[in-house]
Amino acid sequence: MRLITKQLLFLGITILILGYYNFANALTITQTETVSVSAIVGSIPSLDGGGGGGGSYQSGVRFSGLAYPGATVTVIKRDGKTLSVTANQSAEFSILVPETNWQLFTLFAVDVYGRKSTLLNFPTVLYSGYITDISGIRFAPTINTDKLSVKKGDFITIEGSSLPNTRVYIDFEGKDNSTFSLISNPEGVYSVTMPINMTEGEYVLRSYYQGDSRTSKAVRVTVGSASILRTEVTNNIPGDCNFDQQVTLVDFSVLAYWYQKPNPPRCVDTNSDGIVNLVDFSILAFYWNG
Amino acid sequence: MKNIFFKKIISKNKILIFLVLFFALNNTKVLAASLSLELPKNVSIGEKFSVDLLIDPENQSINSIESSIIFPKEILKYNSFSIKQSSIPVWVEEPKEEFLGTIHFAGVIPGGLERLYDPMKGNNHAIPVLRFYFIAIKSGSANFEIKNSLVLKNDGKGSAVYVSENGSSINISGEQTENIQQVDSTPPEPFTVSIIDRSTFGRNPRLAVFSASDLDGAIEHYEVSVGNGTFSIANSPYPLPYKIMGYKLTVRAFDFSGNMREQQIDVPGEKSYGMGILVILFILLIAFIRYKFYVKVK
Repeated sequence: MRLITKQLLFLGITILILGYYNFANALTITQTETVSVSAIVGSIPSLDGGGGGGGSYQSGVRFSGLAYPGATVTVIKRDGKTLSVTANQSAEFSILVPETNWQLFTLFAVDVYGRKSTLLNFPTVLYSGYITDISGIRFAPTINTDKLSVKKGDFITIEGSSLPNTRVYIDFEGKDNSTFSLISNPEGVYSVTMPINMTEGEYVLRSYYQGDSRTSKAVRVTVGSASILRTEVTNNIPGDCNFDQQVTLVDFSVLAYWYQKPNPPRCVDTNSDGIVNLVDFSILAFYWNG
Repeated sequence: MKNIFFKKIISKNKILIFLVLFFALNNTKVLAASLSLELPKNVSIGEKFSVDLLIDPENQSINSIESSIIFPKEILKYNSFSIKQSSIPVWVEEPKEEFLGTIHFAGVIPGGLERLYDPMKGNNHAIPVLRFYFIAIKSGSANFEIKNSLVLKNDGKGSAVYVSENGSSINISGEQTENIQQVDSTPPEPFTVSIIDRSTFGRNPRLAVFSASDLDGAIEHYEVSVGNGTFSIANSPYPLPYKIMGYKLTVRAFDFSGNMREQQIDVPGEKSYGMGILVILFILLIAFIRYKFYVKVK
């Protein structure tokens, strides 16, 4: 009887723990957008002709949310046409894209220092006579470091743009994992110079806001025996085979040439497993910034 | 001592361990993605119909999809596919009937996908991936299966996601009373051909990159001619042959109705590469002459 009671108690605790774990998992994929829809009577005015050149659209999509103070937010349509808007000093932006057809819209933000956010995709359904209003978008912070490789004990500067006066978390992921946080200034800039005393090896740095599943683009830093400044020549982006600091369709084409071929060059084999397969394309797609 | 303690715990709690494992495995479903098909329930023989492949990433960001669609080749004939309503902007392998009854594809989405944004149907999160067209050729029930799917997270590591593959079926009965199929006579859209130069110290050849689109569907295949030579079926990226002198490269894009669009570009010769070879040959020649002269003097 006592054993059964013990087992039931253990079972209850297990269910509670797993239930919490499920709930916690659900929380880690929190969405920052809230979608609402509003009707528009008559035609939607074209902002600058970039939406196709006319003003006779009967539907469209409005993207609004937060980027970085003074950032340029760009929307890319499926046909490659783009529309841009500048965020205000509170980092708020709003952009109306006249469009009639269902499609995938891609958004990105560039901060005032030229650092680019990760890409955000919105496969959106449009209804004639309506604007699909996607609000509450929040770009993750941008990030960069002054060094590509840091000698153990030497200093590294990590900086980027974010919302003004907001706590930004920075993750080091590698042989040692660590996270620290700092608060950005009123201009939406965060910067920290710190000594590196981690185990030698390769690390990936990302910055993000508390409770947000979105992160900045990932930056690779090596902790080793020498410090190397991050210059245009030495930047280390997986899959950037032409070393132009951009991961674009050009790099994709080079990878595609080596797809499933034996003995690929190191540059295209982004995870160094000796073959170019879908995993390498996934890594390339993650770092894509063209 | 420790082992005996653990053995005792395990023997007393077998049921609990089973339940813990059950819940733990059940938990993985939270992070699943599901692939499903949307198609009509009934069609007639001779009718062309569409099958939409959808993905619901369950709010996790995914950036790569690879899968195969299996269908009964004795009942259905694969006609074409359309990327007009696709969320995949970059194709690693465009959809192709690898062998009769199996269509395979792989594509990536830079930036990743999490859900569909449909303001009228808040619970509809399934994102269109591809639209396939089939023609019913025989009566019966046809099962569509989704197999060998690989969906990868947008995490910079290419981590795999658990995928549930949900096939569907269709009934084919009776002859189509009238043929209302529209004839597509529009050629593919104009497209560009770009050249990616060979890397200085790498092993990549010069590549020709091209991608055409078709208003009524998609491109069925490409053909390439180098220097006014014969056309042969090719894919992008196309490795260009090494030539010191420039030449014309012609690329033809064909849609599924056989309509064709042609694009031609002038490819400059690889003079710098050629010059390198000439310099090496010149050095070898000088070395050879000096050697001969040295032997003669001796």
